[in-house]
Amino acid sequence: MTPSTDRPATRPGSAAAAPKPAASQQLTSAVADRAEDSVGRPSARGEHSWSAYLGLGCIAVYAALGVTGILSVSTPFLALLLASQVLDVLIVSDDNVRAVLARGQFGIATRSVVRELAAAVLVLTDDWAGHGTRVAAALCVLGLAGLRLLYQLLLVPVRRRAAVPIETRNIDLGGLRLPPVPHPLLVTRLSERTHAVTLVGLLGAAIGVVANVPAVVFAIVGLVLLVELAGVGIAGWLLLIGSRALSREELLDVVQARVAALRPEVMLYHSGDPEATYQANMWLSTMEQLPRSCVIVLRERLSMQLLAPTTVPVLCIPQPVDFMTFPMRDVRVALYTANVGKTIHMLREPGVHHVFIGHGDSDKTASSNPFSKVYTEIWVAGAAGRDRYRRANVGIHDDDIFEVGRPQLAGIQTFTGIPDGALTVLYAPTWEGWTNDPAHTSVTRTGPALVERLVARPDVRVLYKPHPLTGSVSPAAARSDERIRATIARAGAPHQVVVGSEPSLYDCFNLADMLVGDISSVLSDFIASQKPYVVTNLTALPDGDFRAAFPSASAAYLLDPDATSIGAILDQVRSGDPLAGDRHELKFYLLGPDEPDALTRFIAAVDAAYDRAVALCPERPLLSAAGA
Amino acid sequence: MTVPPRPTAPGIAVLGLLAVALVGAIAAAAVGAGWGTVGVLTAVALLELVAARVARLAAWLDVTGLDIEVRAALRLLAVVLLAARTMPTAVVIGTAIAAAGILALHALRRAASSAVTHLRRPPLLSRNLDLGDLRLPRAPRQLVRDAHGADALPAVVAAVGLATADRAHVTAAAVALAVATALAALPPLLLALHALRLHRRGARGLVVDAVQRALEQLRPDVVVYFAGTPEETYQPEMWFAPVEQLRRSALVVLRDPEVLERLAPTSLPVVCAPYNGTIARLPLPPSVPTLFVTHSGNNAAMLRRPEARTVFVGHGDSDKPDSVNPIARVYEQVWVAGPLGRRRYAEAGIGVADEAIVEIGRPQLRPPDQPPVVPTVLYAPTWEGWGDDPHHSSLPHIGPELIRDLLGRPGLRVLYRPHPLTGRRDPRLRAAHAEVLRLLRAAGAQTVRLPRHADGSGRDLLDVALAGRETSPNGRPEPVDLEAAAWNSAAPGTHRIIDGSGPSLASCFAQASVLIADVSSVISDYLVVDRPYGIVDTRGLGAREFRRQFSAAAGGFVLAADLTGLDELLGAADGDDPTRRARRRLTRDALGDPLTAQQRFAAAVDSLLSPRR
Repeated sequence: MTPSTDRPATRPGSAAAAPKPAASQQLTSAVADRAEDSVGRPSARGEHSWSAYLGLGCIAVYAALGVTGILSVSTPFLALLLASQVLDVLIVSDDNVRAVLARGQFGIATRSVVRELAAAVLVLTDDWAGHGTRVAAALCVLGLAGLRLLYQLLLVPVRRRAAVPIETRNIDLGGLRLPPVPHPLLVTRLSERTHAVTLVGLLGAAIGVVANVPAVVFAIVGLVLLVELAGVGIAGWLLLIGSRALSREELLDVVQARVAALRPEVMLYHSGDPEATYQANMWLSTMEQLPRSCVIVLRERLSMQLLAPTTVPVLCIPQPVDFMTFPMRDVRVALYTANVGKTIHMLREPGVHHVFIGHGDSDKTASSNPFSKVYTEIWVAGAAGRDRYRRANVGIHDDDIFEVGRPQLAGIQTFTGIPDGALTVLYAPTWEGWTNDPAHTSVTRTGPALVERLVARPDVRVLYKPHPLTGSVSPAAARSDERIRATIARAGAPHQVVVGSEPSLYDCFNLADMLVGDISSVLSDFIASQKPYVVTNLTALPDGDFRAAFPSASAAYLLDPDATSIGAILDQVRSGDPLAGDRHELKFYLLGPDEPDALTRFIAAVDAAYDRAVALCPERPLLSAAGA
Repeated sequence: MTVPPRPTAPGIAVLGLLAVALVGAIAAAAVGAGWGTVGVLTAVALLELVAARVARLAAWLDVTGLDIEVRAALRLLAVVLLAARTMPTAVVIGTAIAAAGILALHALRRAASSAVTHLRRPPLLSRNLDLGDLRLPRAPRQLVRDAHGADALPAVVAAVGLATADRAHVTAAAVALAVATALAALPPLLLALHALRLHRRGARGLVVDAVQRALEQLRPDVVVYFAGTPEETYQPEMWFAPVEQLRRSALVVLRDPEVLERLAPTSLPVVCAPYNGTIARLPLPPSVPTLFVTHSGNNAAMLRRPEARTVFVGHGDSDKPDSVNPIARVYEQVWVAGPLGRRRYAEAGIGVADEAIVEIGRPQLRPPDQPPVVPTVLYAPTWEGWGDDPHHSSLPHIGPELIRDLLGRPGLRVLYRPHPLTGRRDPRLRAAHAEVLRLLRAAGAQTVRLPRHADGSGRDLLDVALAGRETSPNGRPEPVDLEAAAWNSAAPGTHRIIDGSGPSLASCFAQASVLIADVSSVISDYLVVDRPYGIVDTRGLGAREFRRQFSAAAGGFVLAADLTGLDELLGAADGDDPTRRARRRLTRDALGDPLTAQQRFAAAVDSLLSPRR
């Protein structure tokens, strides 16, 4: 999924609806950054067969507008005017055509000018009125274009001002003269909107010319001119307010002072593509529970928009120089989510413990990257993480690796034993994936038979939680998904299909007594519960090799692709659960001990890192603020 | 959409005039004034020529909706209107068709030009590598690729034709329209032919393969890696001479084509690869020693190679806090100039192991052979830095006064060499720098210029890459020779200005009898020449406290902000130098023995060529 380039403008963080302390004001500059006239990329997918006709039709209609205007044929001109707008509206919703036209220098701005000038020429050359009237009317039509350009021009500095150098969440910015953020109506799809506004005037002019009634021309064009004048007035007013608001440097200084008052000691540092924002999101709950004062620093505005709600203060400082000159004197522990180039802007700070916490412990490329040497410490979940670095042998000292568990899994309750009554089985398969690899998901081949067999047993309650993307690539997966849902609907209560965000995956884990799943993050997280789990071996590998290839399946009961063995597995679980010991060992290896819990260990690790940083460097030298 | 930076005042003036002139041309045409339209369109054409040369204007013209195609449309609209007012219908239709055709040809030129740019910028470029004869054509002329404002000409020609003709005699109009269309057709035609030739030859793949083959043959013993910005090009350049003197197979790896464009002449093979993927696939020996000259985010791409021997060599060390960046941990070794640099890392406690530090001196500098020709003061202030310290550079505090004072002393020559990044962030430094330049130029100062690769030859990066090794192994113009020629290009007593593209710092040092500078690597480098120097105490700390805080001041004079101490410093150049002993002590601490730096550098490289401990 690509982030929409056209999300509605929101004043301070309302998009995220973050739980925020009272009187907290937040800075965003979504408006300035949003690309209502961005060119976009012609994409390979989502192309319609009529896209090409749309583009060609658009060029033809605009060319015809010019010709009819010059040749003073007013009735076809009026028809073409309407046709042009219909095409423009269609083009707005077709990114592909929009991008191609913009690349071919026939974007919305060019089309606006062509249409307005064609109308001016028509008004001037058609003999619908006396010479003086015609010249006056043509000047009014040109005025439409002129005021439109002036409005767009005035909004340029307004939007530049609104593009604040720093965006914030959960930081009290009350009482500051912030640069005005123009109302979305004024700036969203600016070019398309002004294009449509002048059209009203042009239509009036054309109708007046066709009907030979000057009053119509002047009334309608005049009305639109007044609307445009109002727009220019508002833009000018915003410019005036903006010039009195805090300047870029003043704003940075003020926010800096407010952040300094929070005395943040721990920083979560995240940089990356918008798609990588989950890497920051997965640490939010942990950050919220740290007893020390924390701050989250992001480096990309889009990540700021995609960051999940949180109560931790968040800063987004996109420019390297702004970030490097933004001192946070009390920060002694910086936690990094990913190995990306922009980390060096923070890594350069001496006196800070730079800790790589990553974004999920199975990320193999990150753990074999010699660049990881740059961190003071590397935190992994359990001994498995330490072993990965050891095997990679890229120069990371064993002493610099610390096992802290995965505090994100704190909400998962641990296994207390198989209940005597009905067994709740959670079937949570992954989806087919972009490549539609048949060994990726069990839903297509195994799912329907599995659920049939499960609901047929009186001692089983089925919870089916399909991946939200199931069936989006493969029609076969979609059909299987429907069959499973139908089976559960037929069987009725207490079996259930779980969709949407509630109950969450972890809630389902807690409701279930065992899981049937595929090789995926669902599995690695479920291991934290130590409950029995079943994995379908969809590969051609013998079971032993399968377990060796996928360590997360090493303590699983393995199911055949036609689910014939599910009954035997359930009986095994009921009578002794022979893999319980293996699961306990696997969890210990991947995630560390149960006691103390991961959050406690993580908090202790942060405290220890903080103390080490202070001990090594009692007075933190500040590169960024030698002068006041 | 990002909002472009504010244009300059002349830019805004040109923008306004252009808008007025375009409206004027349409108005003149609308009232049927033939020669009036020609006149105003000529003015438009001239303004277009100016606009093409005003920085940042193009981006603003685009934002305001007056982009290049809209302006072309407006010019041609004036022509069509003129025809509509003065010509019979057939000519009007002909003009409209010609106008539409010219517009389409403009769009075609842009399309063809971007195709040519794409084809001529393969993801891997080189210099000084023998790529064999790939039989690729030379770059088309700049005017063909980018009209630079000349695309307003067809409209003027067409308007002249319409103004000359009248309703009875339309031949002139027809001829002019044909000429205008032909003028507009020429650039896209030439570009399309060029693009077609490149495409048929598979130019991009051909060049990448050839560079890869050449690299496989080269098998470098040492790589210099630079991923910084174009303004920082001096940083890799300072390592060229020491690496050349290793007499080993070496390679320079760059990431930004603009850096390649700016790069000074060198005999070293150079490759430039903007994409991380290309870097990962460069056919380099797996454990090749790789020297990193600056800390930048894109170093990560090269640091990912699991077996490479990585060394941070930097670009001069100083008391500046950034000389002990914690990122240095990521390298296998850190090479510093002397014991002082080693202590700096130990004291900073950032986790660089003492065993990882190697003292190599400053191999790019050697004591000069001769004393300066005339008594000379070199003022080499640093820039404002990335922090907000107002005392980072002395330039805004004493720069103009110092230069005024020095220029007032007869028989004294002044060299001004500001840091290449001066004024990049702080307008006060820009102002002081401009004032210093004004004073010096008023006193007859000249800028010392070195020839560069890109100078006016019309060759692009691909042409340079295809030329391979440009000079025979013996006939290479030594940088030193170029520098000597540059210095000798004016009378010996002439004041000189040295900018970022000028001669190296080392050759400036050789010219100077006295240096005045700030706390920066310039001071420690100058120690090599063993001549007196002064550091400016703009904070007003006093000499004793200043020397305590900044170790580089130990061997020099401390100049107060009111220039107290300047007379003593200048006097020391004449022989009576009370700082000599302290300076030599500092030199040994900061650089070791300056005479053995090249040997120590070579030994450090050798040690990495043997298998890892």
